Formats: sequence, C-alpha cells, structure tokens
Amino acid sequence: MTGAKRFELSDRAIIWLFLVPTLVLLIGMVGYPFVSLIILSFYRFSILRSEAGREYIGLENYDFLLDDPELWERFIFTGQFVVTSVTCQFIIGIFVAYHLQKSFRGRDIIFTVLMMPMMVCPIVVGFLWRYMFNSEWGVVNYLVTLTGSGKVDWLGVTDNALLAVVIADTWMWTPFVILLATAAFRGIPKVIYEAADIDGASAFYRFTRITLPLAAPILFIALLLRMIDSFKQYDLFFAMTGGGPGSTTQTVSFSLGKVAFSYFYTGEASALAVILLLIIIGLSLVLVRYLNLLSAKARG
Amino acid sequence: MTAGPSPVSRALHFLPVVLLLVYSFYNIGPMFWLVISSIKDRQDLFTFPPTLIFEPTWSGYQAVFGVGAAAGSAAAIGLVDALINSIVISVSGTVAAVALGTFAGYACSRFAFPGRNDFLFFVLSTRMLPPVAVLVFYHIMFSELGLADTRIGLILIATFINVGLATWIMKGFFDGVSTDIERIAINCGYSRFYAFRRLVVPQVKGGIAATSGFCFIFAWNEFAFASIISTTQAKTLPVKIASAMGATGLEWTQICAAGTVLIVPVVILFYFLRHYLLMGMTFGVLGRAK
Amino acid sequence: MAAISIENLLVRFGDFRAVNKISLEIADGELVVFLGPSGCGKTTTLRCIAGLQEAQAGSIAFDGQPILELAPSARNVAMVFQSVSLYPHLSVAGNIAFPLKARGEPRQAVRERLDWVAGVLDLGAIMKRRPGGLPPGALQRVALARAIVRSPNVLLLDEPLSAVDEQFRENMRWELGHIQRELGVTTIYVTHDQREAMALADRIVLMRDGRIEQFGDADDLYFRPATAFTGYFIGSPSMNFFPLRLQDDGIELAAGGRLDGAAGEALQRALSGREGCRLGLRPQDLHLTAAARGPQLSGAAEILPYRQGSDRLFSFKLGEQVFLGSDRSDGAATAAIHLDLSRAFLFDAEDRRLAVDLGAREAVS
Repeated sequence: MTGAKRFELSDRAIIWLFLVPTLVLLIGMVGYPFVSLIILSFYRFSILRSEAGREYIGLENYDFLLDDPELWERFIFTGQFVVTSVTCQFIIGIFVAYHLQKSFRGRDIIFTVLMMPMMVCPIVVGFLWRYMFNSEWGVVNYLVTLTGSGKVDWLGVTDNALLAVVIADTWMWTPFVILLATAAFRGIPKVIYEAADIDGASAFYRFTRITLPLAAPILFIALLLRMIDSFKQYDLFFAMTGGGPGSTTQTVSFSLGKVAFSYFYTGEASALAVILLLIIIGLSLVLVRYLNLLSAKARG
Repeated sequence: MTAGPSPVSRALHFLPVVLLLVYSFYNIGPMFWLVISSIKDRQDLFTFPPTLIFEPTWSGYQAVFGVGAAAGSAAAIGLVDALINSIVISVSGTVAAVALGTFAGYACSRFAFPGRNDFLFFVLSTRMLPPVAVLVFYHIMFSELGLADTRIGLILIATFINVGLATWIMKGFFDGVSTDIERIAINCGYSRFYAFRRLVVPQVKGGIAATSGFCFIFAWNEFAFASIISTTQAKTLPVKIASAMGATGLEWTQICAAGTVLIVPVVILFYFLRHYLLMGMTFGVLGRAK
Repeated sequence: MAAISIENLLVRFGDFRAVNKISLEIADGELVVFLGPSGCGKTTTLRCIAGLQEAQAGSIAFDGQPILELAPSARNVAMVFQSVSLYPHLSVAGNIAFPLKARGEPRQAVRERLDWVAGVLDLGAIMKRRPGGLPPGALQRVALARAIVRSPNVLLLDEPLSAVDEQFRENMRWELGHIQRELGVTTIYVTHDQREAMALADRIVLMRDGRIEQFGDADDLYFRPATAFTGYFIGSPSMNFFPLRLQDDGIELAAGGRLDGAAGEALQRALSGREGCRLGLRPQDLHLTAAARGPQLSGAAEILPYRQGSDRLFSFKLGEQVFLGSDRSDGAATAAIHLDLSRAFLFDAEDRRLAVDLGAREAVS
C-alpha cells in the first residue's frame, strides 16, 4: 500500500515518541530552578551577600510573609487586577471575534492590524501608557477634557492607577483572546447555524446555546493562559506605577521583584514565589477540571 | 402585517458597529500614538493639547540604530549582531516549541494514557513561574553548563517558555478534529504516523499558525531571561536596545522608536500568516473515539 | 400544512443562473420530489424556500402569503440537511427539543411533544445519548424528529439519505413516506436518485440547468416523458437513444442499424420532413427473442447477453454506440432483436417528444 511506512510505529511508541522530547526539555530546563526555589525558600539567604552563606530557618520565611497584612492586601489587589483585566479581555475579545466571523473586504488586513498591541515589547507598552496617562499633558486626559470633565490623576490615585493598568493590559492582550476566539467560532460548521435559524433561535439564543458551548473548550484554554500570565504581570506595573502611590499598587509579582532585586532577600523571595505558585496552581486546577467537563460536552 | 423596525431596534442594530468602531479606536489609537511619538522632538512630546502636526525628528531612530547624531555610540556597535541573534533565537525557539507542542498536543488529544492529565498540568505549570523569582537560578545553571551567553542557551529558554502554551493550544485544536479520518486510514492499513502527518496536521493549520504567532511574540520580546543570560555575544535585540539607551535615561522618543522598530518583524510574520490565522478549526460530529 | 406557490423564482450567482425563473404549484400535504443531476438548481430552490438562500427575483408563497421577506424562523418550515446538522453538545432529546425551547414553549408541552415524536420515530432508546457515535441512519432519524416536532407548515429534506448505508435506505425511505402521509405535512424532498423519487413522490419536479424539465407524477415522467432528458434520467437501466434517418427503403437507426419498410410505417410517416430525430426505447422494450414479434432491428454487432441480478440483459453495438435490451432468447440461435415500437418515444431535433402513435401495443408475452 502506497504511503504506509514499512516500519510502523505502534500507538504506544507514538505516545512515547511524541511526549518524551517535551518532557525531557521541560524537566531539564525547569527542574533545577524549581527545586532550588523550593529549597531556598527554607533558608535565609541573599545572593548579594552569598559569602555570608545561608542559614536554614525552616518555615520562618513563610511565617514572616503570611503574617504580614500588607501581603494579603497585595494578594487582594492582584486578584482584583487579574479578574478585572481578564474579564475585560474576554468580553471585548469574544465580542470582536463574533463580529469578525462574516467575511468582508480587507478583513485579513484589519485583523492583522488588530493583532498589533500584543506584539509590542511589554516594557515599551508600560512606558507608552504611562506617557499617555500623564495627568498634565497625557493624551488620555486630553480626550477626557474633550468630554467636558476635568483632568484625572491617573497614576497618583490607587483606584485610578489600577484602572489605568487594567486598560493598558486589556489593550495589550485582548488580541490574544480575539485570535483564539476567532479560531473557535470558525470551527462551528455553517450547517449548525442554518439549522438553528430554521429552528427559530434568535441571535442571542443561538449565541448562548450553540456558539458559546461549542467554542467553550478553546475559550477556556485561552482563559487559563490569560489568567496565568496576568498573575505574572510585572512590566506594566514597573513602568506605569512603580508600585505606587506608596506601595498600594504592588501586585504579588511586583512585590516579588522588589524583594528579590531591591532588597535581595533571595530566600524570602523564593518563599513568596512558592506561595504565588501555589495559588496559581490551585486556581488552574479548578479551571482545568471545568475545562475537561466542557470539552467532553462540546465534543458530543 | 410587518411594521417597520422601531427606532429602538434600529439603534440596537447599529450598536455593534459603534462598539466595534470604539474598540478599533482603542486598539489602533495607542499604536498610532507610539509611532507618532517616535518622531516627535522633546518639546512636542509634552505639549497640551497634544500635537499632531509638528516637525519630525529622527533622533530617536538614530539612537536606536546608532547612526547619525548617535553615531559611534554604544548602540551602533553590535546592533546587527543583536538583530541576527534575536531572529535566530526567536525563529528556532518558535519552531521547536510549535513542533514539540504539536506532537505532545496530538498525543494528549488522541490517547487517554495514564498520567495524561498530570503531564498536561506539568507542561502548563512551566508557564506559571514569574521569571523574576528564578533568574538567579538560571544564571547559575547556565553558567555551570557553559550555556551562558550562547545562542543555544537562549534558544532553549525561548523554547521552554512556550512549550506549555503550544501544547495546550494544539491539543485544543486537535480535539476539534474528528477522529473519523484517522480511523478510516488506519483501517485501510496506513500507519498512525502517516495519518497524523498527512491527514490530521493539515486540518490544524490554523492552530499551528496561531501558536507560531504567539510563541514568536513571547520569544522575541523575552527580556528578563535574556538580560541575565546574554551579556555580550548572544545579546538579543530588546536587551541591546535597552542597554544602549540606558545611559541617557528615559528618552520617550527613543523608547517609542525602539518599540516601533521591535514590532516590525512580528508584524511581518503575522501578515504572512494572516490567511491561516483566520482559518480556525473544524468540528465534526460523527464518530468521536474518546 | 400549506400549499406552496412559486412564481418566476430567479437565483443568480454572478452571471450564473442557478434557478432560472421557475414557477410551480404544490398542493397542501403533497410530497413533491425535486429531482435532477448535480447543479440543476434543486437544492438552491429548496434553500430559497427555507430562507437560507436569497432570490434575486420572483416570489414564493405559503397559502397565498408571500414568504420571501420573512426570516427562516418566521416561515415555520423545518429542514433535514444532507450533512449532519445536529447540535453535537446536546443529547438527542436536547436536539429534538431545541426548536421548541428556542421559541419558548413551556416545559410540559415540550415533554409531551418529545414523547410523541420519540414514539413516531422509535427513538426512545437513544434519547439520552449524544449524536457523536450514533450511526448515520439514527442521526437522520433524530434530525427528522427535530424537524417534525413542531408541526411545521412545510418539511424540507435535502438528500437526507445520501449518507445512509444502502441496506437501511429502503427502510428509511418507507418510514419517511409513511410519516409524511400520517402527518399530512407538505414535503419537498431533494434527491438525484430517480428510484427514490419514483418510490416516494406524489409528484416529481425534474430539474435541469436551473429550469423545470417536467413536473408530474411518476407515471407521467416514466410513460410520457416530455423531453429526451426526462426519458434518459428516469428509469433504469437508462433509455436507449437511436439517431434516426429516413431512407428510401426503411429507417436507419444509429450507424448501420436498419428497420425495414413495413415494420416502421407509422414511424416513417412521422419522420418525413424532419431531420435529427431520435428514437427512445427503454431496454425493457427492446427484446432479444426467438419468437418473431414486431419490428426487427438488423445490423447489430457484438450481441452480448449478460445478467444483472435476476435480470437478463444484453448489449449490442451499432457503429460505436452501445445499446441495452432484455434478453428473452434463452440462448436460441435464431434470436433476433425486436423493438416494441408501441412503447417507443420519438424525440425531435430539440429533444422534445413528438406525440406520435408508433404502433399497436404488443400482447404481453
């Protein structure tokens, strides 16, 4: 039979062959840092003063961190940021992707242009929005004054600053959602929409009962990825607020950067990283479980 | 029988268009502002109301490329090298990540092997680490292995940060392809690998395009690891530009110029991929194996 | 239930006229089959009636009410598609209930209708299952259930059995016909399979290149084809077509075939003054037989008897053309080819059938 390989790989061999390289690469790249991270979290250590050696202090780093009320505030703040930003990205992203479904002239050019925000270097994005949000001469405030209101102090007031960073983050990552949502929507066979039309479904009913459920698996993967990335967001806060005013817009990730590279409390930073990781892992597990349910349902 | 549409429903009909226009403005406006700020002279940058008509200056770009007024500065030296480094590293990393992700994604989609969920979660978890927390360890690790300041080292970084994303997205796309065709091919005596390569992979071209786009973006803009690992020879473009400008402080013009320059390769890639990116995926109903 | 009236329907794709100004009237409760080769416009017409395809001109009315301005959901039509159109993420019950729920029917009513439909189509066993994994026959039964559950005005079926295995097709065809008669819903059924059409239809619309070739019941199309195309398309094996030429001493059929003078008198009269006519004769009416009976065809070459199932056929050549007939010779050496001209059709140069009496009906042997 033409095309069939004389040397055939059993399914078992295929599984191994397809998975092992990835596994090897990841364990190789991530093993040492992961393990070191966890180990170091039990030590008092600073890379700056590495000659001073390290002192095993058990869970002291964790105690110290978890006792700090500011840390909890930062967690809440981080949660606010992640939820707000990801929600905005998804609502806007799905809306835009839905309307990009029909073909029109120039659609692929417009699509490419819409993808651009996520291509910009994150630090540059941060500086750009800082520049645009400047309360004195920033273009955002210019637009605000056009509507008649006075200038807003964006980056100097905590709530405004949060909003500003959310706006910047949403700007940057909505295209990610648009791209994946477009792919998901495109995958629904036209026949099903025709059947729904004939069955008498309104556009809304069709969207909620057919489009979304069938697109759900991919959308959830997008949600998972965006959520994980949002927790790591650092560049925007660094460039736009520097954690300020004061230290009110410090996310956990930002705090991590400070502890690691401003104070150089490497042990403590490691412990903080572990805590952050555990939270992300926890949330991801919940999401993944839900994703599996959705996938099974959508596949029929 | 049918009265004309009410004013409310007419308005509702236009609402999506209005919202889309608003989003387009929100999306494109800041990009436009980035580019226009890259050619603004200092005094034009900080005016209120902001200026749209002004005398353009190329000093920002000159600083980035190390030519003209900035000739002979640290920027010029090694810029082309940095560019080549970035391209080689990003392309290699993307290709590697997409390949690994496609294979792993297919295996996870088609075979419910024991430990599949654990594997998938592990792969995803490699993305959860904030680089800030582990930079030190990578520095140590790479130094020990002799990978510091090498292209290979950075290619490995570029690959590993993306494999998780690639695997999950490709699995999602593979899940959307019905297993009918593979089963028919296998029943006809074709090997599974043949079915995979010739029958299934072509159906997920949209997924490969999307994954490639994302991986390239993350690899290209990767800064944290690169700045720690590559100090001279393997310097990537973002690092190079950042260090070249570091001396003069926050020059908005230069930053915007750097940002604009850095986008260009990515835009080119997405432009070439645009047809595939809009392809999406296919769902089937008949015959799901698992 | 609705009578359908189509007037001058025109559907254009660029310069190509997929449906070229057709008009027809369908009675309430009829099962009409749109039949024809691929690309003839039957599916396009169906989709116009459904509301999935825009028409550039013409009108369609249900019971006198024009419907082309209405959205599909407002027309109270139901459709079974050629490809699987079931919602993959819903169970069979969910799929069937969808049109009811989409229109806001109360739960109790939905359940009652579900039970009724499940009974009619015998779906009780699979109500909780998902479409994925069900065989094509079951899938189309579910699609049919979803279509009839809300008692539509018009039921539209687009080649619903094309994906179903041959062995189940007969059964399903019967079921479909039976359900349609029971429900009395006006039904339009699109197919390219003429046997299906002949078996199911009250009337058949034979289409070709966007136009209606002939509209009538099965007997009309089989025994009184209006054109050569109809003659060719309906009936299997397909009709033979012999190009005719009038000669001094008889008629020439195709290349080298001859019908002697006495036998084809009526035919000769019909042919005088006409050029380019063809004789259409079904293989069933062309016999290889030892008994001398009726007009005889001479000049045939390569006579080859063979079997097709329990039918005994034979093929022969006149010039380069191959023709088919029924073999009744039992291997007799004196067998000759006889034509039953009373069942023959004469088509003029424009392929229209000429109403000519070509001879007395043979006694059935």
